[in-house]
Amino acid sequence: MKSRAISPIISDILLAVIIVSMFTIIYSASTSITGNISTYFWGNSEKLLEDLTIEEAFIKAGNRTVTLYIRNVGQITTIIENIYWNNTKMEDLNGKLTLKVGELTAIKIKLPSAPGPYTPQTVTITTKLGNRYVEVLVSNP
Amino acid sequence: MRGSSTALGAMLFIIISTTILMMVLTSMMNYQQNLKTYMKRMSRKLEEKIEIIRVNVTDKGTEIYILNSGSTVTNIRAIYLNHILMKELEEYYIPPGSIRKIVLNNIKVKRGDYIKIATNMGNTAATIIEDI
Repeated sequence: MKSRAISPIISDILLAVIIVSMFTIIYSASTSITGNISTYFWGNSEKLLEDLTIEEAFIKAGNRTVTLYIRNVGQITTIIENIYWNNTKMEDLNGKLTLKVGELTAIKIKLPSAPGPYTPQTVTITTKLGNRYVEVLVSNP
Repeated sequence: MRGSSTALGAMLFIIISTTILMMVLTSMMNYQQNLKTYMKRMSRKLEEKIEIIRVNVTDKGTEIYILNSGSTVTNIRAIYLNHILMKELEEYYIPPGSIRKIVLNNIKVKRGDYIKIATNMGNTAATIIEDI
């Protein structure tokens, strides 16, 4: 039996399809990789400009109420997501609290239990950009 | 026209690879720029040092004398008395090596009171009134 080759038109179409699909694969892979690299650098570069500080906080032993004075000492506007007290979520702000550069805010927190004297309390503030600011405060007798 | 597809393909490849490279380089350059800004800010924060050297009570209120013993200009932003915000300042600069006075009008501190001042960089200085 004599075998016949495919026609030039079909071979051209086949070649075009192969090239287009190869190009699509390579293009999507490269854009995905470069996109990830770009996102990583852009995201982290924004994170570098963000900075918060707990300017003042006073914890009195036996008292469940604490006022935190938080200031944005960074170079961009910060959106506070959550505040954790000893790793327990206290304030679910959900991005409702926006602090402009240099702005100060006072947040009143009701603790689940009154701390004893000289006990370390860990306060964690998380921001929308993904930064975490951890500070250890000690309750006064 | 034969061979043009190869040339076009090569051009397309160059355009795409250049665009991708530009994207990555731009984001990397932006990151580097922000890193530089961050390092500068941290260095300034470390250079800043303030001290409360004296507290006087007058008829008008309380005078707080602040010494900038650091090597950079400092901008005082807040004054706390007994852990409560008393005054927020906007542009209160102290040059390095200088002493400047802040007056808390109608507030008279007493023995045992705790005063804290904070700068725009996040540095603080505090004192407990002993003799007044």
